[in-house]
Amino acid sequence: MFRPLMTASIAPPEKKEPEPRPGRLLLALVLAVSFTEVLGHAIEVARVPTPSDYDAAFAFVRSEWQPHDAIASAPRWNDPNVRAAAGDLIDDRMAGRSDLDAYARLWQISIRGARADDAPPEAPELARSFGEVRVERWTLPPPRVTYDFTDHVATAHAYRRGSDGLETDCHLVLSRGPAPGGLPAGPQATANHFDCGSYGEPWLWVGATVNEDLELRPRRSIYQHPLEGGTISLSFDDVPLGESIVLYSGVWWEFERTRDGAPITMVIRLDGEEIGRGVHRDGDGWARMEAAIPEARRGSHGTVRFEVTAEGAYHRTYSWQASMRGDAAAIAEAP
Amino acid sequence: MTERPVGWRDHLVGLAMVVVYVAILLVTSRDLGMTRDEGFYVDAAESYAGWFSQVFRGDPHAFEQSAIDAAWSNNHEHPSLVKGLFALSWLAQQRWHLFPEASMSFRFPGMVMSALVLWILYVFGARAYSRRVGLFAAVAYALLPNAFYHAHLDCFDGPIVSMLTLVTYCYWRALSSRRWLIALGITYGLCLETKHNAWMLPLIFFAHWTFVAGTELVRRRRGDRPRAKLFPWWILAMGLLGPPIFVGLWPWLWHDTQARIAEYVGFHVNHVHYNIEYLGHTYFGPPSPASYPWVMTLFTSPLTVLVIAVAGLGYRFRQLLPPGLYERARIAPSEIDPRRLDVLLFGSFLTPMFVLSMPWTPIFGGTKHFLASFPMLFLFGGHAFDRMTRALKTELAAHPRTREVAPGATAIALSIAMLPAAIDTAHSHPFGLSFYSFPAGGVPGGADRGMIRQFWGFTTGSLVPWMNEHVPEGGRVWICDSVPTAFTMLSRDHRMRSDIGVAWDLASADYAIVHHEQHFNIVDFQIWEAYGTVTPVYVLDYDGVPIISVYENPERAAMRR
Repeated sequence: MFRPLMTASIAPPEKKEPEPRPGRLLLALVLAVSFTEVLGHAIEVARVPTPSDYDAAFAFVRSEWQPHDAIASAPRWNDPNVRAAAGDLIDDRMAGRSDLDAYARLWQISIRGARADDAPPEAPELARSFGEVRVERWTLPPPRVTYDFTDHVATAHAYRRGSDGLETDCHLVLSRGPAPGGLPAGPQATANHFDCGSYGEPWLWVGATVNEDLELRPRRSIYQHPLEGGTISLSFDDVPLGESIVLYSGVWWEFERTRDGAPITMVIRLDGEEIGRGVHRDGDGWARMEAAIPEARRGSHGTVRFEVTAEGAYHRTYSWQASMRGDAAAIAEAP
Repeated sequence: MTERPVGWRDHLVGLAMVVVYVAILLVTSRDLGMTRDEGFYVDAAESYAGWFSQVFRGDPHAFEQSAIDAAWSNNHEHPSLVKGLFALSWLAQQRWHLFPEASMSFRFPGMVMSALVLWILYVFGARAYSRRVGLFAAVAYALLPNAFYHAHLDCFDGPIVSMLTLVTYCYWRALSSRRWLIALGITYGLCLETKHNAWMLPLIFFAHWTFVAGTELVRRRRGDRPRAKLFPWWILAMGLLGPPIFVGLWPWLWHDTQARIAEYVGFHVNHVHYNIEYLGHTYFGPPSPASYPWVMTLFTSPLTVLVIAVAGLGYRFRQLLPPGLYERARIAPSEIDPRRLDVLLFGSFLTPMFVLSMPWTPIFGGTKHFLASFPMLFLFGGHAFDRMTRALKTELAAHPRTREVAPGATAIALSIAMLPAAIDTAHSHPFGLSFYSFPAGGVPGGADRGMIRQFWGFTTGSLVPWMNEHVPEGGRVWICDSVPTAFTMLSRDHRMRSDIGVAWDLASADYAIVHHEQHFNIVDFQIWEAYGTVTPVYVLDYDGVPIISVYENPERAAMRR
């Protein structure tokens, strides 16, 4: 026979009535919370936009659409629904923009009363609701982008200068190249990219892509991975010169978030003369720099070259988006 | 503290809860795609099933190291008990076709083991406190949306909750019965063999034992008669029976035992940190936010149940006081509990939450790594439920118009308490991990707050109707976070057309999918560039929140036209 280790008596289960006051208070509290929770659930579900809400919203947007219009999604997590409904109104330029300077008007497609990060602070000039989807529009300052370098990457020239100082051409690849997809693959090359790598350097390409910045946002940009002990350059000929070049740059989130990579130096040259220099350090995120075009050169054309170097090139999945800014009308009239 | 009698009728109630729950799990599992980890465990189970077949055939070489390693090296980072059951269930399915789907046969043992916690909880609560306490705890856990999700899977997260709860129950019983020491040792061995969470138990029990011993010493010092032995027999039971059962049931440990145990322990002690999004930030490694398990609990649980549970903790606060204070805290001598059950339950509730609050602990599993806290929390909640039920009964009996329904007070109170939970759980299916409750603002509120949308790629299962309709004959899908075993299980189950296959790169796929998790944003952008469009052809939503985007490969589409 086992001897008990501890005494535990068996007692009858029933006792204690009536219930003291705390029990009644708890009952009232639980009733109130339960009712609120059920009601809250019903309200949450009722606020979900339907496909027809999006269809109606975009039927309206399409009817009012003009060139240089942009669309912003709010909240940002709803962007897939907005892109699916917007169809061809949104391209990778718009989805991966760095700012709104190329656009004349902004449409905000919002749900749940959210507001896009880049929506102007003032009240919209137009606001309409389509079920649970709200459409708002702002007129922006006149567009100042006169030349987007990413649009012209296929007609540019890419160069690799090794530690021996010799500069060689990177050859243009007309095909898109492999598209494995997935987390390890990183930014995807498009057709018409430059292959700057020798054997075993598949990361050394230059071309348009959509990179993922430190805030995990899409950034349509030019991928230009630095070369260990050398320089990778991209040169654009016959660029119409405005007032300044605005450049945003960053490293793919996967390697910038660890904040242990080498700084990357970007040098901008106009006809060989340095007009801008910036250093990107991990943690900077999608950072902006501006290089002024010398006043004497504004309105003319020139060769603009972007040189990328880094003391350590390992995992420096760097990309940049640059555009010439200025008075669009004045540049158009220039000889 | 006194134990209350628990009879066969109580066990029948517990069993009925298990049967009903498993039936619901079986029916609803047909909507649920397989997860990444399930895919790995299916591979492992099929491998182990081969070895079992060898044994059943009487193959004399089955116990040689080469045969064991060939089968059991697969997925040896987790013990064999649950995966062994998956394997046996799969063998039974092959022989007798018990289930309408292959996935169901792999999942069934996990469902049963997960559901067992309801029985254990009901009996635990009924024996320790009252049937109402047990009832509340069991129903509250059954209707916890994330627990309901995990209970479907051929994984270990549901089963380990049952095992931890069972061992805790056996430990409590063993404090007053030597017969239960044997049960404690056996169940602890099985628990070790279920998942490594079992390692926590001796620490919890030891901490609890200090309360038991301390309380006893205070009593004896006051001249009261002894009510507890001071020697921790439970250590002997767990130490003597647990490890042999652990090794004995895991063939992979039968050779090179010491080195392999070291490898197993090393894997979990140095576990990699997978990503998880929390409050808008994706964590890949330490330091993890201390608030994680607490906020996740708030955001994924029905609020009403949480309120009741917290009230229950408040009611039982005095029972948690350390020896010395405890005996003086206006507790009636008849209620002084020599086994300090509330301390045991509180420690068992707190420990998983505490471990997950540590900055060095990987937090990638959402709520699954601290699910074992909830049964204990809900036992506390049972006290509050008991009080509110008695108050309701009194109120109903006090009014002539409601007097007749007063005997049904428990059912009415349970309905009030559990209605939101039932709605949440029903609404959470089949999106499970994507669900957020009222405190988070629902599913869209979870998205607003930057909470993890999903992991494991299981939501691919919800795309099946769309894929069956749109993917061309012999078409290929690039499956993002799904693993091929999980994806092909959809056709093995005859849910998805058998001609739909996996594409290994974006270029060769007819369609590519993105599971919307923050760290998968780059995949979205890769597809934009690979396919030259940012427009998904379909977005799988849950309460308006994007779960999966589907893109069509224009080159493949053009070739078809």
